[in-house]
Amino acid sequence: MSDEHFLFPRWTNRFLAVLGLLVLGGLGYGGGMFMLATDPVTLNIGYEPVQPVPFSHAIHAGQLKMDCRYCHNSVDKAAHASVPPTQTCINCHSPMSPEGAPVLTAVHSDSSPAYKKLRAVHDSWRSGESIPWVRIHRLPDFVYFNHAAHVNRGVSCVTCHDRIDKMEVVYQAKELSMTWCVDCHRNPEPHLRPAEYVTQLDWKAETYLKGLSAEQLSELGLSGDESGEAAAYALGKRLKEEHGINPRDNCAVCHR
Amino acid sequence: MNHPGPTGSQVFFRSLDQLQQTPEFEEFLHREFPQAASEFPDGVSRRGWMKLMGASLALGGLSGCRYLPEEIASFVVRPEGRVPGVPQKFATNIHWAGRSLHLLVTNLDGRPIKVDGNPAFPLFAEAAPEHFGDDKQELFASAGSCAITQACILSLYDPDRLGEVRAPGAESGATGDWSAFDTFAAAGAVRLAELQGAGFGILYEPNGSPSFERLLVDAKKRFPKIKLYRYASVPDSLSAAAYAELGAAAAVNYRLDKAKVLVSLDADLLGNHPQSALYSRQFACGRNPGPQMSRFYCVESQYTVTGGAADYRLPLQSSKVAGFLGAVAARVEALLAGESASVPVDPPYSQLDSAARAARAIESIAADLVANRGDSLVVAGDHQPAAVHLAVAKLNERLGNLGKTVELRRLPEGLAEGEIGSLQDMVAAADAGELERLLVFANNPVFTSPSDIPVAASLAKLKTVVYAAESWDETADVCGGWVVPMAHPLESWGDCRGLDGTYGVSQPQIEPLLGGRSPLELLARLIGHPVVDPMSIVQETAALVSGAALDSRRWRELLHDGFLAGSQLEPIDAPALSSVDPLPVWAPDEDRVEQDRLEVVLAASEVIYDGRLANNAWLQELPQAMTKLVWDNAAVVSPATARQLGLKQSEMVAISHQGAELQMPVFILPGTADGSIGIQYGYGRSVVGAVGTGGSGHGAVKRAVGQDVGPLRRASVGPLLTGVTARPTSRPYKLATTQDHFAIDQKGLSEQAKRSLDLVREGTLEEYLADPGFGAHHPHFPLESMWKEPDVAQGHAWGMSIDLNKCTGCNACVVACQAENNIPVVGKEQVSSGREMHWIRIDRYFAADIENTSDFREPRDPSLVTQPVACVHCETAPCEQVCPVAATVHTEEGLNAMAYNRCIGTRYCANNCPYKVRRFNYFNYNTDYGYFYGWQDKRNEANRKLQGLVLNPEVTVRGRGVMEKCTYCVQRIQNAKIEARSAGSNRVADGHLKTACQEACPTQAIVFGDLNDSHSRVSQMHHDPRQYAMLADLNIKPRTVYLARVRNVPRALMTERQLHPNRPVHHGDHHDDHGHSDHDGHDHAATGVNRSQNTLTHSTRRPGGDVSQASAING
Repeated sequence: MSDEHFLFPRWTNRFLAVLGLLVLGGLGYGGGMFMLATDPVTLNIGYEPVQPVPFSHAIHAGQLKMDCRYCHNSVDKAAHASVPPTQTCINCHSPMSPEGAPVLTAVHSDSSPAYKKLRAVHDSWRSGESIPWVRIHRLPDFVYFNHAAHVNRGVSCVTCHDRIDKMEVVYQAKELSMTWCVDCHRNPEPHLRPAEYVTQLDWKAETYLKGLSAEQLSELGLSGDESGEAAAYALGKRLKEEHGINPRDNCAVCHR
Repeated sequence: MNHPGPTGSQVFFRSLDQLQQTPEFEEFLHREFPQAASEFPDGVSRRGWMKLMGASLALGGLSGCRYLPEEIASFVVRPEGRVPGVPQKFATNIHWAGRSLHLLVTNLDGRPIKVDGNPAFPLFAEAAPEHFGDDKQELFASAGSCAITQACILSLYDPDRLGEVRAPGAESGATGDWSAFDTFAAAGAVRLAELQGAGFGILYEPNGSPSFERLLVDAKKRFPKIKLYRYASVPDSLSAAAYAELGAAAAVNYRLDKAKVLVSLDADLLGNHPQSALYSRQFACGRNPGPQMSRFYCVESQYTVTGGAADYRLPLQSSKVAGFLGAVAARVEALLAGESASVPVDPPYSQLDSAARAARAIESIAADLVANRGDSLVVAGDHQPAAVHLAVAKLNERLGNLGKTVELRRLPEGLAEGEIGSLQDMVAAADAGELERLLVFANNPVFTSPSDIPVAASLAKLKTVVYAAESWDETADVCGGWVVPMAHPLESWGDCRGLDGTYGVSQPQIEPLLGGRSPLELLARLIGHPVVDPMSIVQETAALVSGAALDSRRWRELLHDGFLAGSQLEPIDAPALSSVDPLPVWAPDEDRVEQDRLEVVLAASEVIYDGRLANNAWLQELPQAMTKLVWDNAAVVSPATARQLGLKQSEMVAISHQGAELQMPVFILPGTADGSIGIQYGYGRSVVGAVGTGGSGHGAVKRAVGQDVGPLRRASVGPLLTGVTARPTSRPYKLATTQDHFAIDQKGLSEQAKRSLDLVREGTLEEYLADPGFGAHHPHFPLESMWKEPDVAQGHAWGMSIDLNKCTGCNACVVACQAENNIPVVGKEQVSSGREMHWIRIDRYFAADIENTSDFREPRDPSLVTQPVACVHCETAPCEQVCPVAATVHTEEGLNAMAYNRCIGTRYCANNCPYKVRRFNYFNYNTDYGYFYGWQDKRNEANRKLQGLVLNPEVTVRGRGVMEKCTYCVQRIQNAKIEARSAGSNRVADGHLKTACQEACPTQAIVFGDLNDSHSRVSQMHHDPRQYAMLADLNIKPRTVYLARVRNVPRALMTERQLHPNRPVHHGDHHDDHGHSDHDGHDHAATGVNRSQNTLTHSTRRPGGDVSQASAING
């Protein structure tokens, strides 16, 4: 064996430039992909499709203070919150009978100017065809999110869907990206509240604590002086311990 | 040639190729991914591939990062009790592929996606294999099922099912419709009444439906001249006929759970049998090792699942079984008369020649039968002649088994035997011109009927034929009449009786997808029955069975439970049978195979039945229990027969019998009786859907799957052919078998066997009683972990145990896993390249004594152990250490999780997996090739959507370039945890969670649960003395453990190695000295005892006390 080291011949030097270009190109590609992947458009933030029925959550959940579960009644029972059947709308917005009398309560009867907004609902009711709602909050097919698992443990609707009760037209307000999910799974305290308040979208930990008696507060191990985020955190921490809430961040939690 | 063991040892091997270390086996071994694993499927050129890839890249760039709008179709009125996305289970009873199934169907958002047995159904509930003695029986209740049951869900979504009414005379493609058919049927019914049925006939197959029978009785009553023809494509067992002939006409069913001694004469009760799930379940009841363990003798010509499960198996030509039985019966009589049995132990069984082996088996069987009178059971196989069944019936009577292990029940009223003709009668009537109009309610008689019955020609002679068809098949092709689509049993109202007569109703799980109608409705219309609504017909029958009309509440109860409690047929207590002529006692002749004195044993395919399931890709690709063949049938012969006839594996053999000739590919299977050829029929369909005519390659010319056995099947001869000639043709034929896939090479095996025994472990009951931990030796050298040991003490720790003593290798778990986890089908070509995707493989090991070198070529009477292997979820998993992108990681609960979306397909993990349980998606099997279906044809969108309905939405559908493997049904785990938490508990209670394989296992060999719960069943199993971990020496701490197999072999039939098992041999060639006495524990710290081994072998002490010891033998 000779002890000469293998040396690249001199002519290979010109490939250095090519290599540099490749590295630059790769960086550019990688950066571009990163920006594309984290772009709000990609993440669908602000996605606000036109729905077949101009249903206003602001009126129903906001002004009328209807509980979310009146319509999304499987949210605490199943993976899907589920879009309500037409029948749920008809409970209040029934069409006129052929004689012209409202069959059930008619908040907006056929003659009212708002009728055209209800047309799709009534058409569905008469024809038996589904209302073709457009899905807004979507996760990839390989992600398995379970509403009941979160709602029953005190994660409010508002955490992921924001103030739906203020939306005339619902849009996606949060990222719904993987980091966003994992952040909360690793640090759940600020997002927990007593399970009975999950559908109260304007709930504030601070206000809640203020409303408690000193006895209740001491039971929770809190002073009641906490404010803002600190209050939410302190309460969340307490709830987490009490209910043994221990969200995992391994892959199998969401990917099956 | 490297043999895996020295002479004078016991060897475990999966195939002759492995035993003989042939180049074919070497090839599978030496390439981590088999040769051609990186090749495209046939028919796709490189250029074509580049085009495809280029296009998909471009499109991917455009669409990959955007969601397409998705619609939510909400209910208008949501059904009561329905929560979207939450599965519901409904009980039903269907007749499917010749078997009555009592099912719980998982229905998700209105579509059935999974079927399992109904554990509440009386016969199943009575025979629960329970030995835990805890109060969790109800929680763990699962009836189990068989592979064919599990696959029925796929046939429901088969787009090749018939979806339209075809009127006679219409050009192919022209369609009639239901209104035209109804007009025709109404007119026909009027004509039927006018003629009193003269010239009309109904050809039907036994479908177990009391309602159907009631309609037939009604037709016969109203139109006395109508002819009824009954035709079973797979002949009924003759056992019931035998009892009838002996004066006890009865419905017969066996109680294997009550039998202490079972003798199976060529009967495959646990395998290829309509009631295999029930009988396997009953069988498992007696399989807990201990003094009360049942003993199972099996005498058979072909290696079957039953033979594999038996404690003792004697290979014997089917045509000699009668003589064997005669000898047993004669000995039983002699013993009953007071003679004493002589069952010598010396010389050991393994040193006897085959005649002496049989003689000793006869003596031993007779002695055991007599000693266990009333607790024994003798069963003969369906292809045995009537004389054998008569003798078996008589023998059971003499042994006092009637009413105990053989339950006889009074038959329900129905058609009298004389009112029913046979298929031959139908043909004769058609030929004579007596029959003009025929309604066919039998599946595809043109293909399934024996070849000496010219059904096609007879159908052509008829004026009118109405054929109720599941799909467009051979019969539809030639019948020239109305072909009307029949609904799938899961779509139709119907009913059937269980084996004990329990009445169960079939409720539709979904509206007919392709517009078919239930056979009840079709028949009712055609015979002008006043009630045509199938539900009303069933309700009427239910009222008749229960004795009073069912009010709405009881009807709903019946639908909910799935059966009518108390509707069993009345049992007959020990009837006296008339005497039978004793069978001639067999004089064992020499072991000689003669080219023209062979026998052929025909049986319906264990996967595609009589051919009607040929379009079911799950079943086509299911490795058959013994041969591990996929997409084919073969002529199965023993190694000695092959040698003497000059036959070679994967070459065609020409078989002829009385002028009928057939060519079949040869499959050499150890343990087959010499001179016997086993052939399964049902293959070679010519008019069938996309799956049945292909699957052998991408873009390949369509050809039938497997060989049509038609020529050999003749009604005049029956299923057992003797005097058969076979000669080699040296025409090659490619068979795809998975038996050598994922094997471990010899060096690896020998190293690991040195350290921690064999992959499969078994012993005799005697050995178990002396030392229950015989199989549980652990590596006794210090195990040091290379990795940080995970902390597993908190929360759940999921684990599994598989009892090899109960596992029969029936394949139910394989298909159940496929159904649950959306596992794709890949086709014969891909399987040949080692790319099958099943998450569970059932390794079946032959175990043979190697006395001399010729035993390597032709192992004598090998016994068999089956071992299901799926991902064992190692605590320090080797796959995880090598994944460059952390796509496979561990969860806190011990799951080895796969994040598919992270996987980039390096396949390092599969490379590093010692169990070889990881499967790689070489292609977009699920999307490019259609869901489980038709990879040759690009299916149109509607058909793809239909196929896609079978997918389980709880499990990701994997794409190309992604690794996958068993997840312990993580979707079920997560859902069970969420359910438990919603109910206010932080733990999933034992029994609230069952994996798909566990649920499907008819013998409950598989137990799954939480190892951190010391009271859980799986914890108990993990502390069972028989427990052992495969490849424990790697210190990867698998969460799935096995329980060693225990054989209850009588001493007289023990081989030398069974007599002197000699396990705790210790060689001081390395490591510290452990005695065997302190071997008490079953934890990892327990001392183990080194056993010098090479490769697959048990080392053994010779009678003289020396120990064979070799590290590598070159023979």
